[in-house]
Amino acid sequence: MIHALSILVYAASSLGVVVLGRWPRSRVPSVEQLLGKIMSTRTGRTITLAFWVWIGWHFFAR
Amino acid sequence: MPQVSEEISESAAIGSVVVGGRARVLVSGETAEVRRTTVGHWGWPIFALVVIYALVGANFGSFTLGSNIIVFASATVFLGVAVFRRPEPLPSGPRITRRGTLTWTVVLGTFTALELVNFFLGSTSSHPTLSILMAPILQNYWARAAALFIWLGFGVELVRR
Repeated sequence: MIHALSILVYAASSLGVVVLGRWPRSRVPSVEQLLGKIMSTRTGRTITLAFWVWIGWHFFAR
Repeated sequence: MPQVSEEISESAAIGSVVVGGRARVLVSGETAEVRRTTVGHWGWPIFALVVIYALVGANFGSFTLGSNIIVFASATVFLGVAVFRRPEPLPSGPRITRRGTLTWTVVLGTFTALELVNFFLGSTSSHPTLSILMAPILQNYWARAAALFIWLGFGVELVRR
């Protein structure tokens, strides 16, 4: 029960923020805008890519 | 220089911003909306490669040599591309407001806090972290392939920036 509810909360909140960012005239930046901003610096690129590698390793390799 | 549009010559385009999956190309001070051709489209070879890689990679369960090779081989390729690929100069795009930053900070902060609390409470069935929640789902081959495809796709989008 807790598992299903947790997955539902995670999925709904993720979808909510993505939709909110893409909503016309929304003041909340979309995921693309946010990543574009973060990836514009070398530090941001390094941290984001390192985090991406860790996600893959964590969920698929261990 | 990448192709901007079939209708608008490269020399006429003085800049572009991406808006909702389409590119607005500035032509002599005016804005013309054209199909986004420089960003956002992977192209069939990359798409097919990612699909095949995900389908093959999903055969390897966690804690196996195969799964480690799948993850670290793709990570090496993507990091190599990110380091050696000359980044295209991107336009500044829409400015991110303080309210927008605050919204994302609250969302990501809440998620991080929730994960940390569940982690320090033992990451058990009654206090599951995202890893615990995803473990049974990722045991299914097709769910694992789909998740691997999403992870690789996200990587492709990251190194294209």
